[in-house]
Amino acid sequence: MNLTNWLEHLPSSKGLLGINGRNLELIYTHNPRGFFPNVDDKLLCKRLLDEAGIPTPRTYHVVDGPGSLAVWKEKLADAPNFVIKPNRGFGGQGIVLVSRVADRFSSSEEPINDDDITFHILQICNGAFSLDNLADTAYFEVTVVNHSGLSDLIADGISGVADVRLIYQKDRPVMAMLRLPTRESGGKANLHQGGLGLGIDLDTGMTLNGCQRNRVITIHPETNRSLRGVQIPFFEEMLCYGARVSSVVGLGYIGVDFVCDRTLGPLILEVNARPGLNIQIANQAGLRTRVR
Amino acid sequence: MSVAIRRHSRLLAGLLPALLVLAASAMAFYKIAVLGYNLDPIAASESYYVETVMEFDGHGTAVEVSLALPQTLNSQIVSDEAFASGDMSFNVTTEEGNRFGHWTSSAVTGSRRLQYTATVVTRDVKYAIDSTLVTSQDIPGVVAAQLLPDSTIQSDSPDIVALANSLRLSSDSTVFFNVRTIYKYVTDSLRYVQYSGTTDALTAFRLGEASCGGKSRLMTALARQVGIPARLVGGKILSSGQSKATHVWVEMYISGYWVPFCPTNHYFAEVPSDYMILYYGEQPVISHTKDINFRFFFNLKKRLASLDQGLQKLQQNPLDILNIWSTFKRVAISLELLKIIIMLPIGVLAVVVFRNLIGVETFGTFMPALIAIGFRDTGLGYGLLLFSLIIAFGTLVRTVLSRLQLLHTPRLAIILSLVVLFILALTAIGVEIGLLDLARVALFPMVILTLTVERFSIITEESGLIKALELSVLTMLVASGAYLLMSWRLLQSVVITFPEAILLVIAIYIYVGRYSGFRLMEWFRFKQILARTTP
Repeated sequence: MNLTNWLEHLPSSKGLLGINGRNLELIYTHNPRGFFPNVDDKLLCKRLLDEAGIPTPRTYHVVDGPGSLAVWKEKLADAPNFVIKPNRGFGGQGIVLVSRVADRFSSSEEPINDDDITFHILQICNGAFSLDNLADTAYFEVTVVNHSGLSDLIADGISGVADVRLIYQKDRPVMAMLRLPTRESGGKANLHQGGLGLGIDLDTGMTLNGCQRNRVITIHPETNRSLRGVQIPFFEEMLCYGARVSSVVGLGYIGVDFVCDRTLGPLILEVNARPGLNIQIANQAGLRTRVR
Repeated sequence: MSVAIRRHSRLLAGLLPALLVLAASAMAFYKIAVLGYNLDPIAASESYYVETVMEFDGHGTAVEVSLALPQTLNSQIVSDEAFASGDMSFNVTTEEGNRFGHWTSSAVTGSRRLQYTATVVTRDVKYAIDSTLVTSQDIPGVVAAQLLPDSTIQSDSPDIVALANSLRLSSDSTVFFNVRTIYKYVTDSLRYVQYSGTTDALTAFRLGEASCGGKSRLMTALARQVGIPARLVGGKILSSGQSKATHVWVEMYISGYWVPFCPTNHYFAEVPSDYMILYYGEQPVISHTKDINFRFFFNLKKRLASLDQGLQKLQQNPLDILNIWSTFKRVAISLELLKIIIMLPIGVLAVVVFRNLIGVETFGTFMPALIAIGFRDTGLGYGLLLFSLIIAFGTLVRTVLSRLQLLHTPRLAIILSLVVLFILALTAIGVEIGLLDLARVALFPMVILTLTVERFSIITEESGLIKALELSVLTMLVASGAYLLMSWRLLQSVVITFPEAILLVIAIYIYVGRYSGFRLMEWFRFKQILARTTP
């Protein structure tokens, strides 16, 4: 027993958590395994949040069998743009943004046709992007448009969506980070692929320093603008909604991902039962010191 | 979670390893102190897997092939013998103390492959010759024949007699003087030259040069001339790899013992443990019908002793339940399989250390350990090469397949099928060019390789080729670690004799499982921020 204590304190980790520490001290102790489906199943999660009156992006259509596959185009007749997502995907895999101009579809500036979309849905349903490659459900969701308050932080010509990751211990916010898509990340707000993470002051909702991969930065590498001191729109509302998520999904340590839509305001995109550790680099603070 | 439950789990996690260590030590102590277990019979012996491969082409006529077989003697133990005969009939005969395997057929058309495999444990032999011992001694009737001249050991020829006289050999001198003088003459005055044919004693003397056979025959002739019974010993010097070379040395009968000498490699009254005896006297290692394009080679592999001998002792203990070896033997599970099964929990230690303490990412959690099992048959070098080849091939196939737009599972099934065909091709090539290590790639875990190919391709698409290559290298690194642990001979003997050692690794796993500090790589990941953060 003392060996582990000795190893932990050898050089001080200064309250920063590694993967071992996160799993042992936060996830295993706060998140009962039986409640994981409440967040891993994104449609179920959205339903639970809807029922609790917490806003989420609208679902246009769900494909869970041949019947629903055949009618996807009719169901989306009124949607100008949309996103196709795997229900049990992870790490942003299998998500495709589709835009429509004069009844022609395109994704990432490349034209695609109905068959491409049908094939992608089939891939999702076959489990190509789901955990353990189990059969999955695909769904169509409204495309979120970045709030104008955040546009300055994103280089021109990038279609991706910025999101705000809030980590909660029960109803208490622990740490927050704004994630920005970059050219390097291919328009995804994914830190592993080179997106930016900016720490957020929980009291004021203003951005602090940022990080790209594991490097601390203060200037946006693609726009050369300062990253500090930007006010997150609707931050108060996010904190209000976020505080209720833990009891809704039954998990005690979660990452809640908000997006700020230009017209719809704050929406919860998804909830994560195993939130990542780079938020510590963005905030230059350890999770261990913030969690009680 | 309540504080009480957390404290409870912490107490349990602290106590459990201690209990496991205690239980393991108690079982080991009981086995050593009461049942008389002991590592010596197992750990001390390294064994060789000896394989003789013979190939020929028949032309519709009768074929006969004979091979001298090693047998269990004071200095060597032969076990696990196996013979591959194809459609030829096979029998083993014993002639004048030598053993031969005979393959015969009245009509053979086409090529045939014959094979003999065995596990041999050898030990060194060393004698001290009493320097006061006189040469004339009582010689039993069976040994007396080893004093007579024959067609290749012409101990009565005038040249040999003259040589013996000039060396002042005499039956009145001590054995030590005579033997020492003969040995010095044969080692120092005869140059060593490699000959392929048989050089008799007289020819060796006249040429002043000889290979191991010529030197040994001349030494035998001189010994017989002075009245010391002597015989040729044919065998093989054991070392891993493929070869055709055999070796010949000498044994002399001195006060009741056959004492070995090797004039070629300069061993006096001793031979080291790598000398394996195949026959005594003037015998061919292999004889065969003429004109059949006969090829052969020996393939040797160093291994942990077959344990059969060592374990026979352990087997007799009354508490069979503690003795996994005898239990496995009853259901005819081979020792090789037992080794894989029992070493797996140890090999996984490499996976746990690399993942949870160092923070190395690999394809799949336990995949490196499973790949390491494949390496066991091919060796580490070939294993790594083959792993890379198969991943490269599979990724190429997948790239082509992605154009067909196939669904996930059928696509995986196609990759699996093509990986199987690729492996079969590699095996065929390996057999054809005689690289059996390469041929053993057929034992690679194919489904696991297929899944690796899929992960490799997905990661290449999403995070780039560099990341995928990085993961491959790290997977191979961890697999190598697991392989080295699992194939460490001493560790194998310990774990097979004392399987309770697995309880000790479980104790380690509990410790690592409770370690909530940084993984080694996280010190680098958080380096910049560690410098700036105040606790």
